[in-house]
Amino acid sequence: MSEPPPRDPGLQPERTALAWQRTALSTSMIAVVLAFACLRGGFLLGTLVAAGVAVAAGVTLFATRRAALRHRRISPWTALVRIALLLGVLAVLAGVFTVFVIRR
Amino acid sequence: MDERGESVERPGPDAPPPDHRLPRSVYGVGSEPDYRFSLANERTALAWVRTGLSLVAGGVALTTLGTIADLPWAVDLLALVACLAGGALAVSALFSWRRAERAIRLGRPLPVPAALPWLVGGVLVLALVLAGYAVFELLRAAGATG
Repeated sequence: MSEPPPRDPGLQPERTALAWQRTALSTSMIAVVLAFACLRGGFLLGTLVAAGVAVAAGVTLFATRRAALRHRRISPWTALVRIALLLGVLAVLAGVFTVFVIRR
Repeated sequence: MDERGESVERPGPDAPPPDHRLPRSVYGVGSEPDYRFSLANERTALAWVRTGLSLVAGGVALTTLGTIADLPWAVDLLALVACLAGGALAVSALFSWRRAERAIRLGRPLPVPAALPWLVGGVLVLALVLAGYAVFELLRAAGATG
């Protein structure tokens, strides 16, 4: 891979970048929604965690873009693990919030 | 995948770049595939992550609705299940990406999408339960008026 690869007429790199943007932005949005829901429900710890997830999803997006600009051969593993972990945290937090709401 | 059959890019024999990509269980086996296949695999994993994300979003929406309106406890239970299933789908996306990338590099047939039957089954059960609930409510309303 010393010479630049021929441009893919199917725009696969662009589509992949857009898929990353969609995923990271949706994660951020849902984290923000959950943060407000927790704030409204009086679950302040949940608000903090959800806000952290929102910020981390944005950071993941930009870190992925920077890595893609710097290296030619990159593994999506780290970014995938990060986004999956963020979604896992979001899922557990939303579950905890649900239980919190039920018990109230 | 298109059938154009362009030449597969392989690192040249004169200058093999050192490969430090993680995880080694994927990049340590097989040969370098057409990069478009890897990108398609990556997008598939991201699509699974978004599926999980929409489940979590649905769960959050239901719970938020529960804080405003007085909903039956079954709705809260449904929200809990949706959230946890969304998290499970994210983890499953990670592992299915790894299995598919290994299969691509080794030239093996692609693994079965393991999460798909669970997702379809869940949606089916949800649809049936909601339909049954709707019919129950309709019958009750009809019984109350008539």
